[in-house]
This record gives sequence, structure tokens and C-alpha cells, in this order.
Amino acid sequence: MSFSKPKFRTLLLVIAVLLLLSTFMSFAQSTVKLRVVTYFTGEDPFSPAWKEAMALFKQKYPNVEIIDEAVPTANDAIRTKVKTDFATDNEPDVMFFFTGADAVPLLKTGKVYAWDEEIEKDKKWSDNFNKAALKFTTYKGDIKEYNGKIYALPTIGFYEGLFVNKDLFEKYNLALPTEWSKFTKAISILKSKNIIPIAGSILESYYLIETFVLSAGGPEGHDTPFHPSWETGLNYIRQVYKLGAFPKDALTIKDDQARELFYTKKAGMMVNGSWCVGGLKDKENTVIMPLPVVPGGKAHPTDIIGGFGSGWYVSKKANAEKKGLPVEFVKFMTSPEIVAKFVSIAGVPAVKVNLTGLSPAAKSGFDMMAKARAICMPIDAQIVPEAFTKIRLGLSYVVTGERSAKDLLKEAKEIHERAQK
Amino acid sequence: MQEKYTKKYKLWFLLPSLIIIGIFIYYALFATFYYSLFNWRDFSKYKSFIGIENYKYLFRDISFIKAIKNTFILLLFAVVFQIGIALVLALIVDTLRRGYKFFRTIYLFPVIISGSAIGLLFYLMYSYDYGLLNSLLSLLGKEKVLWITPKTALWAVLIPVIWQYVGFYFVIILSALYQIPQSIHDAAKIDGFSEFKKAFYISIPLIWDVLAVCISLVIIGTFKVFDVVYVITGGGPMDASQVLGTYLYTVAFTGQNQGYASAIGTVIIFLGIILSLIAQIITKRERIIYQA
Repeated sequence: MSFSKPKFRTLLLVIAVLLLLSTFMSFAQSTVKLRVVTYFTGEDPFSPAWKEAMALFKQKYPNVEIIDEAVPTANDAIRTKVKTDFATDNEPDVMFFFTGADAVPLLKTGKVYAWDEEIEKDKKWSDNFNKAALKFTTYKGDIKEYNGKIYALPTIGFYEGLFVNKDLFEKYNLALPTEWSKFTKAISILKSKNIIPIAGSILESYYLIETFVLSAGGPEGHDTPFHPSWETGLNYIRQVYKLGAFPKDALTIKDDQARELFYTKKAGMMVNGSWCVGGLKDKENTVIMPLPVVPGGKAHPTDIIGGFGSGWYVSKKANAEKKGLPVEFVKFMTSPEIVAKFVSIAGVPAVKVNLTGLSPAAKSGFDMMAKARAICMPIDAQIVPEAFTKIRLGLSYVVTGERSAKDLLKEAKEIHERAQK
Repeated sequence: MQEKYTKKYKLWFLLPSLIIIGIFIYYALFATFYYSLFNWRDFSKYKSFIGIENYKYLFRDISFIKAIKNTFILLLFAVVFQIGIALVLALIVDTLRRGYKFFRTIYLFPVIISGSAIGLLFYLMYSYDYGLLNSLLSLLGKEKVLWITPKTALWAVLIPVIWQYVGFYFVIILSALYQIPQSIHDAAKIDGFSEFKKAFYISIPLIWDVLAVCISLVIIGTFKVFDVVYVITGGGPMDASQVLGTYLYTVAFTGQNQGYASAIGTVIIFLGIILSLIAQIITKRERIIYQA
């Protein structure tokens, strides 16, 4: 087959017109991609609310395609993902990530969008925020660019406390463990009835460490890295372990397995956080309260661990390139209607929302937080991850008497100080 | 002239793999050593030079010392049992006239299962509350047993680690045994050798170079053990089953200290090379050529 010159020219013209048309068409229907990293994976209790929120956003902005890069928190996968993304200039447009110590390496890169200007500009939206919640995501430190600035927007707050299967306590005529003596009595009675007193994992002992240290040292001791009360706190965990309060396989069991023991009423109590409320099978008979103050402890009976440990971050660069879409996305996600969807599953809101139909368990968690004299951020937000990991994984040595708490904390302190150099 | 061209093409064909290996293996190795000299955390872009501080800390780190000790125990048992069991099985299967293909497939099977799957399998077996072993004990009316304790954890992970690779070495050894000419076996038979004597005086000496390679592979493989141990125990309790691979992961990803993890990685590479060289020297013997 051969083409004459005019025919060939016509063909070229047709192809050029078609190409031009298709380009126009694609511009007309162009979608803006928004890369969002969260930890709302399938196994996360907030996953249904997240999916619903994304669907609602897509309805409002049909030309936006959300690239959902959810990564689990297990094995610190999200920490690795976010930090390596930032280090390789591949930061996501938007992310829901931990605040506190985890924010520092991100802020050092200077790539994080500061919210202060937008908060000032859009009062209608920002007035919904609880001012105390915003303090948790306001940076105070050596990075000049962000000092005093809000680097992330919190939505779901958390608390840690003692979860109690009230029906088991009633069955064995036990008083709720509001005091240490009642707590230890409950341990011994439940144990005698073949009920695991505390569904706790020594391997993944984040919440045990924090709550016991707070109980021993009060907010001041807890919030001072390596305060002597930390040793007292760890020794009380050891004492409780020696009472046989934990599952037999507490040294190897993981936190989610420990939770299951509580959910299925094989255990009477559990030291854990608000994220567990969504997983409770019996929300009617679960009470959440502060861990009782250990003998000689400096905490007020209402002091708890809690706060806003995660927040929405936006990439400065992406926000400029995508004409403010990442900020719009976060504003949508922090609107009272959307936050209500998340908080109906678990946690406490950082914005003013109307909460109705709360389960008794969730309500008792809210009450605990509302009555708290002091709310302290967890220990792992205060010291370097390596030092906290040393304490957490070393706790098994302490509870079994293989190593003293003092010795373990000395090593962790060395690690922390080495990291500061 | 033709030979010159052939050589040129050979080099061109070798170049892509050389580049890939260079980037992903050798560059990574040198980069690991380089990073080990820095205080580098949180995968940050910022790191400070600290010389050999990370290496000095290794000697004070109880978890690392336990990981080294456990890795060497694992190594010893892996050499003895992975190669030992594989050799015994191969020698037996080699004597079979029929059905050897069946055994070859059966014994090789665990090799194709991923380490994580094997880890999960054993994790579910050992589990206290709903594990297979305790379910069997309950069926027999016995008390549940805590299978993973600080005293038993290392043995609990040793079993699947050994089991996983027996088939791999079995196939290698069996292939070597097949290479021994039948006439040598026939001569031994005429001389009245028992199967035991035949194995010791004929088969093993004739495949010695293959066994030496297997020992080197076991050494290298043991330093890379990670997935099975990580899934079953995570290196715990109390570092009882901590091996270098799991400890490196914990330091790098949970502790977010990539500089120190690089130092551990460098030690793993260094020990792997040194021990393989020692193994090669110890196992070096004059090569026997089959002559029918």
C-alpha cells in the first residue's frame, strides 16, 4: 500500500487534530492525584470510617483521585515508610502520622506545612478545634522554622487506662479497682477463679510502662526522662507480674492476642488505650478507669496518659503545586461531620462534635478523660525510639528478676544521651 | 579473530549482571560500612560522624552479645543437623532403585515454602492458648505447656530453621551421589563392603567437595536467618532466641538507629566471610576424580 503526498499530508493532519482533541479531552476530565499515607489499613478499627470519609470526599471533589497508601503501625512499618519517604524527597501530599518525637525528623527537613496561617484565615473551620488539642501538635524546640507553629492537625485523641470487665467483678463480688489494695485483691481473687487478672503483654508493654510510671511518679516524674520514679514504676510491674497477674505466656504474647483475652472474658482487666473500644465485644459491661495509684505514688487518682498522638500533615511542596488541594483535603477530614464518624468508633475528638449514642464503655472513657487532672503524653513521645525499645524489650528481664530496673534504665539513658550527641 | 569477537560478546553479556550486582550488592556493602561510622537515626538526611563508636558499643550491648552467641549455636546445629540429616537421607535414598523421586520431592518441599509461612506454622503450633501442641495435650487430658520460655526459645526456633533447609542440602548431596559411577559401587559390592562402609569409605570421600560447599552455604545461610525467628519469637523472650538478623531489624526499624544497625550488618558480613573462609580451609582436601 502506498500513499500519495497529498494523502499523506491529510493523514498527518487528521492524526494531529485527533491528538489535539484527545489532549483537550484529557485536560477537561483531568484528575488530580492526591497521595495520602495513613495507618488506617484493613485491620485498623478506624478503617471503615476512613473509607467512608474518602468516599464522601470523592463525591465532593470528583476530579480528585486519592492514592491511599495505608501502612500498618505493626512493626513500626509506618514510621519506616514515612521517614524514608521524607529522606528521599518522596514525601506524601498528605499523611496522618504520629506527632511528638516522631515529628522531629520530618520537621528537620523543612518540608512540612505549618497550619497557623490557615487557622487564622479560616476561622469558621478552625474555631471547631479544641485549643488544648492543638497544643499537642505545636512544636517547641530547636528547629527555628517551626518553633511555636502547629505542624499537624489532630482529630482523634486517645487515652490509656485500666479496662475492667465489670460483669466478672460483679460475679466474684469484687469492688472496682479504684485503689491499689482493691486492685491487688482483684488480682488474687480472679487468679483463684482461673480468670487471668490482667490481659497484658510484657513483650509489647507500651501501655503498662507508661501507666505504671505515671502512677509512681505523677505527671512531673513521668514527664522527666529517666526520673527515679521510672524505676519505681517498672518495679511495680514486676510486683504485679510476681503476683501472677499476667497470662502465662505474657513474655511472648502480643498485644492484640492479650486484648482478645480481655474481649472474650478470659481476663478481668487490661491496661490499654481508647483504640480498643471499637474492638470490645461487650461494650455494656466494660468500665475504663485510671490505673490505681501505686503505694507511695505521686500521681493524682485521675491522672492519665493520653492526648493527641497523631495528626494530619501536609507537604509544603505538594500544597503549592496542587493549589491548596492537600489543605482542602485535611480541612474536609477535620470537619466535625467526618471527625464524628471516627470518634464514634473510638477515641476522643479534637474538634467540637455532637456525639450521640455512645456505648457505656466509650462514655466511661470520655468521663475518665474529662475528669483527668493531668493528661500526659506517652513516654515514647519523650525519648528516642531506641531508648524506649530498650526499656520495653528489657522489661521481661526486670519482671523475671534477671536484671534490675535501675540497670535497664541506666542503659536506656545512655542510649538516649548517645542519640542526643 | 572469531575468538576475539566471541570474547567481546561474552563481556557484553556479563556486563548487565555485573552492574546490577555492583549496585545492589557491593555498593550496598560499602555503604553499610560507611553508615556504620555515623550517628544516623530516623532515616534522616542528617547524620554525624562518630568513628568506631557504634562498634565499641557492640561490646557493651547485652542483646548483641546474646545474638552473637545464639547465632553461633544456631550455626553449629545447622552444620551438624542440616548437613548431617541431609547426608543420611541422601545416602539412603541413593540406595533406592525405585521411589527416590517421591522422597526427593517430599524432602525438598519445605524449601519452597517461604520462611514467614514456616514461622507462622510453628508459631501456631507453639502458641499457648490455641496452639496445635497444647490442643493435642488437652485432648489427651494433659496440662498445657508453655513451649516458648527463655530456656526453650532457641530450641523452638532451631527446629524449623533446620527443618526448612534439610531438603535443599539433601538435593545437592543426592545429585553429587548420582555422579559417582555405578562401577565403583559394584566394585565395593564385590569386595564385600557393607552399605555403612561404602558410605564412609567411598561415597562421602567422593562427594567431599560438595559437602564443603554445603558447609559454606550453611554458614552464610545462618547469618541470614531472620524471617522464621522473627515470626515465631521476635528474638525473645529476653533475647533468648535473638539472632543477628532479628537484632539488626529491631535496632534499624523499631529502634530507628540505622547507624548502629549498619555496624551490626557489617559484623554479619565480616563474620560470614571469615567463617566461610575458615570452613573452606578446614574442609580443603585433594579433589577426587571419578574414574570408572
